[in-house]
Amino acid sequence: MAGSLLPGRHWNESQFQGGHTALCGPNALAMLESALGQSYVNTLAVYTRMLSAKRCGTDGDSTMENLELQAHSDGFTRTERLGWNGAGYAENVWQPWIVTHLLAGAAILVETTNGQALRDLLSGQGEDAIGLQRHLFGIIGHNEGGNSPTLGRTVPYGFIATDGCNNALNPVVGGHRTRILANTSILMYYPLTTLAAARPGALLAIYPKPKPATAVAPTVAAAPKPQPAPAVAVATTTSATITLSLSPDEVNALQKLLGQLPK
Amino acid sequence: MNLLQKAANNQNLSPFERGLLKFGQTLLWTVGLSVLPALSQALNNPGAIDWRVTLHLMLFSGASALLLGIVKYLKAQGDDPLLSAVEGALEAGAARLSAANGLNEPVTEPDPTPPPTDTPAAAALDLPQAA
Repeated sequence: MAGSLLPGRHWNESQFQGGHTALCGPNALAMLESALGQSYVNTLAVYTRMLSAKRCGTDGDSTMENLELQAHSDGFTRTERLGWNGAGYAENVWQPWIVTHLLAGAAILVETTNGQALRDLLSGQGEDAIGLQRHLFGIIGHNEGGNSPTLGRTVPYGFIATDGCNNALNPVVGGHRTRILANTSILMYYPLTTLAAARPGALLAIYPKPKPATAVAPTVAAAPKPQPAPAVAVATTTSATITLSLSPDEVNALQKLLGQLPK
Repeated sequence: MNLLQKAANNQNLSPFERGLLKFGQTLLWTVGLSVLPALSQALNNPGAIDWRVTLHLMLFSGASALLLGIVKYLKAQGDDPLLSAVEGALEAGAARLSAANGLNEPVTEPDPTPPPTDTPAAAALDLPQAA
């Protein structure tokens, strides 16, 4: 099979948290940030950051533009966006756009114009919603059709997704709705025809955080003539961040040493 | 839903409906008042009720109610809609604005209760249920 999948673990959880009913945007962004950063990011944590920055409403409702701004704030500075089109994009526009960015290592945030059409091929579950239209979810990979070792079955052309509104993450147990949080084994698979029926109206490609530049030790061509130590400490104009792994005793010793330095 | 129910629910009424409501309310009140003289006569001197005067009073009452109903109908032509209707219009406008900007919607979840397996027909026949 040919396709793509973000490396490492993938998190998925219900969007119905904290009594909010419009959290699909923060939920999808949190799950994609989790996969891209390989560290679980909670939906409500993203919601709280977005709310404090006025990037979503109190119920969590947001736009793709504001989700992109939040991704930037969270350190995912490389993004590309296909702006909102209320009529939905043509398949020959969104399909190659998604695949191109997936193959380049991005995760995709999708906003549908007909979210009720989404039905997971793996679980057979649809959306835990009535008449859903504008809905956001994440795509972390795709399969061009055939056997998928990741999914453990043969699938048609489609996309591996995280969707907090799907019933697979909001199962009814004993007549009561339950929520699944921080799960690493449940993924959705939306075939191409399913996604086409959901009519994507906006897309956002989010790339992994840029790696911090590593400090390179300058090579010295000739040994410089030793300079006498200055009598007065001179403030340097450059700085560098050094990460040290120290035991508590070493930390204490270092603090004592720093305390003895002239101010 | 009849006119009285609509009025009790604070729904918007058309000018004609508002005029009709006013006519009905006034008619009840004035006709009630117009029969008071006849009632008084009956209590003081039974058999001496002046039905002609009573009938005239009732006719005047009905005419007054009709007049007030017409006035209400005419005045209602220029009235603003109720606040609830304004709120509805604002909500519809906000929904259109959200759709135009791609703001996602709040989700309405379906009832989580599973469909009953015990159908009325099966219950009536006391048939064993599938597991």
